[in-house]
Amino acid sequence: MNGDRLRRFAAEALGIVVAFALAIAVGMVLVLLLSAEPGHALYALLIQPLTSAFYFGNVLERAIPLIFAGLSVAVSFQARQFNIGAEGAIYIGALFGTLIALYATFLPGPVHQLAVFIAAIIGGALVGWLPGWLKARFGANEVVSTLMLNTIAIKFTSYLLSDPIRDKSSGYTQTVTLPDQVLLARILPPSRLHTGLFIALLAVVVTYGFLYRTTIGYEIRMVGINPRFAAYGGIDHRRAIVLAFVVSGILAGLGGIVEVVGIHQKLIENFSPGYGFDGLLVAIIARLHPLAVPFAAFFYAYLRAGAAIMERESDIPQEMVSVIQVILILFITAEALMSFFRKRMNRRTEHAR
Amino acid sequence: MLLEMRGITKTYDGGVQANRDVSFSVRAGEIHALVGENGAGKSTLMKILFGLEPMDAGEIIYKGQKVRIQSPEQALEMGIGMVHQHFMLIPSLTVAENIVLGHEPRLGGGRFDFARAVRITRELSEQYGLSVNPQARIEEISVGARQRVEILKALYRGAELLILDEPTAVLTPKETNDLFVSLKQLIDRGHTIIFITHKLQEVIAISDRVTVMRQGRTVGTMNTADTTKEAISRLMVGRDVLLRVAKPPAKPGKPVLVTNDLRAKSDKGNEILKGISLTVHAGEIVGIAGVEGNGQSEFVEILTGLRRATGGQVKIGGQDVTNWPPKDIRRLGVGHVPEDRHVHGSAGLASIAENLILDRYDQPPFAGQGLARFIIRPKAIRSFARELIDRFDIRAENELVPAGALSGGNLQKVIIAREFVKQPQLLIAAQPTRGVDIGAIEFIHQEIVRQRDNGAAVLLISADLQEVLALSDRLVVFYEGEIVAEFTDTAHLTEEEVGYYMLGAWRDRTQKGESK
Ligand SMILES: Nc1ncnc2c1ncn2[C@@H]1O[C@H](COP(=O)(O)OP(=O)(O)OP(=O)(O)O)[C@@H](O)[C@H]1O
Ligand SMILES: [Mg+2]
Repeated sequence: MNGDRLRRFAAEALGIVVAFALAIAVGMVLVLLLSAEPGHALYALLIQPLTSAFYFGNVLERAIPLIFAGLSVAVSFQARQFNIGAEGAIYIGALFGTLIALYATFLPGPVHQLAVFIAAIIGGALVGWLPGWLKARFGANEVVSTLMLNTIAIKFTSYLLSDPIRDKSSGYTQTVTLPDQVLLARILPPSRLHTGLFIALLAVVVTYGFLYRTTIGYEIRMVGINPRFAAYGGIDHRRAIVLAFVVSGILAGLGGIVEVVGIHQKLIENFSPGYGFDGLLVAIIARLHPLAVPFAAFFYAYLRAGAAIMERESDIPQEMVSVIQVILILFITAEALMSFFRKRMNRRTEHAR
Repeated sequence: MLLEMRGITKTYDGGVQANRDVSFSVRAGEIHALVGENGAGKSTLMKILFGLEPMDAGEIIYKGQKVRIQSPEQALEMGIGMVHQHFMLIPSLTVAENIVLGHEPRLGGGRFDFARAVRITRELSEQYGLSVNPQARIEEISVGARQRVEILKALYRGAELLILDEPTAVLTPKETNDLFVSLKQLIDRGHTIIFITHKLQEVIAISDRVTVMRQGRTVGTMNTADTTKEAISRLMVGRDVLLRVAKPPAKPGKPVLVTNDLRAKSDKGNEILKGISLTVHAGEIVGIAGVEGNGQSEFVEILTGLRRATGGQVKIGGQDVTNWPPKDIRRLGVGHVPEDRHVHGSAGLASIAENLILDRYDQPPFAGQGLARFIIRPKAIRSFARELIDRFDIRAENELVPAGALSGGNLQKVIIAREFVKQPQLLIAAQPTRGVDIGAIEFIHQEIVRQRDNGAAVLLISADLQEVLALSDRLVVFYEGEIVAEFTDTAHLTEEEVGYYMLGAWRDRTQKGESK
């Protein structure tokens, strides 16, 4: 029966790979049509990210926040909650962690670092909890509440960076560089790839365990699959929903602080280019399964890194990759729909025989 | 022969061989019953005929020609229509809109012509003697009426050969009779009908011929006139089946469930329960008979914590549990087989194992103790599930199969297994054998009696009068939210008698212990 699971997993994975191949194929056709030197552009997009430690490090460093954001979205979506508040939680997690990093310097090194992460977890949990509680208690629509909360979180961070915690000596809205003892080590110089990668992979395993190996994960999944079944069985669906939001917020908040202490080494205004929203796409590509999230994040980051190189080295702009991404999402969702209509597909293949 | 299916073979993606070299033929103008245990492959065979599932091998000959049916549209074009086991109507639309959906009459400019849709519906309905109200919304009409809408929809699309997959599973005895009258009329007008059912008396009552399936194969086709219920059931199950429930007299103990003047409002706000006082003792089966929609469902929902009572009291095992949450009520040892296995009873995308642990996932051995009490133990869960699959004869490849891939009867067994294995002190079973094959019915009935003999108080709600009569030690009749009759001697009751009370024709005429 493990073979059974494996077979199902392989089928899913194959579907995703095919979708990627198709999306990239469409992208290649476009490049061929648009570029004066298509070979060069394609090489930059697809091959060059693999050609040096620096480029490859760039891919992995980009994948880290996407893994956290993807996990965050996967958890709340499994409870059938359309929580799009990961972006806000990224900022608040980063902010809480940064505050501890800046002001709890009396703590000994490792304890200080741990405190930074715990602060980020608390921040993320709070941002996650509020819309979850509003939903469970008052039925407030989570799409609206999380979108509003995102704006509040981002603006609040900007406000603090505009004066209270700003590094007045620099000309930017950012803090001073954080103390060495809270920063994560770089592991593939000259790229900025850092040990946060291992934290992200640990988060993958822990999230999987949480959803599939704990009673609360069971409650969350059952509420997501059939809320009436869960209610009939005595599962407290409000609690399950709130917890899904909280865990989702924690994961995003961790993603935020890891980005700060790993990449930027200080808190910068608008440091996230929308990782929270990319997380939606990553989670959908991974079909909400935590173990598939790192792969989806990797592919996604790979495309982004390749795009940056392509823009630098050829006549095709980065935005080309947005086209590929959109097509990819279309294929993936179509593929998901496809499994509903698998019967039809079978029929067609039978017809062709 | 109108239809011949030869050598039909079908294996589902998951590896289940649902049809193996099946041959099946239907004569023009007959009612052909198709019977077999849950999972025998009846629905699959019909889905192939209707173009919903592709077949791996075999051929279909319709009206003398070899045909390829690849979609329901094609099937309908040829004149083959199907009414499914689960209705596929759109609840928020009207009857007329549902019937013409997909082939709507249009005004100039392409706008939908509702008036004509209503007219078409009315004409069809009169022509075939299937009465419906064209302007009512589906969500407002009874199950029986929905069924008629499904049939009319198929007829509107030009169906000559009509496939009915377990049409009577959800009907009351009266609705079933009405349906049979309409089916006879259809035959008189030159239609042909394939009729799937688990109720052998219906086979005898209405069909001309009957085909029996077992484990994906056809094991025989007979003229109904030349056979008996016993012979059919033997073919189906491969052994003799007890068609009557063997049941020693009840030995009632202390009261377990007591309700006192229980009142409730329906979702629409009208009074649906008008003061129900009922006691169920340990070791007895109390049946509730009644046409659906007379408060039975709401009564059960209150007992299990899924709906709030607006007045009165519920006591279980001496404790006042009125308006307690479901979890606390379950913890008192209450088992509940819900009336709809898809809505409440199961989570289709979750595995059988996950469905089976619904009310014990957080208790040892499925969860740890102390600090580990939040950790689930997959090994314990899987072996528990395997044990139940075995004991309750659930036909599934393994315990990780999604519950949604099971045949209707097997899904019901999953629910029965979950609710019975905990040896509840109070067992509430609503429609426990709806859509379940006779072998499984026998098994479920025996299990219910066994629960009773082990000291459980059993409350049985069923639209199947024969079932309530056969199982109940005591019987009450619900009509418009009240108990209008109570019988302490069910052995000498007839269906007709109970029927009068169910339809509100009689009221309180019977004294306890005697029938009139
Ligand atoms: N979509 C599906 N995917 C995988 N297996 C399926 C699917 N549908 C049915 N099966 C399996 O095929 C077998 C035959 O199912 P089918 O629905 O034809 O049975 P049935 O005779 O109609 O039973 P019932 O009386 O319970 O409705 C069962 O073992 C069932 O689990
Ligand atoms: Mg069936």
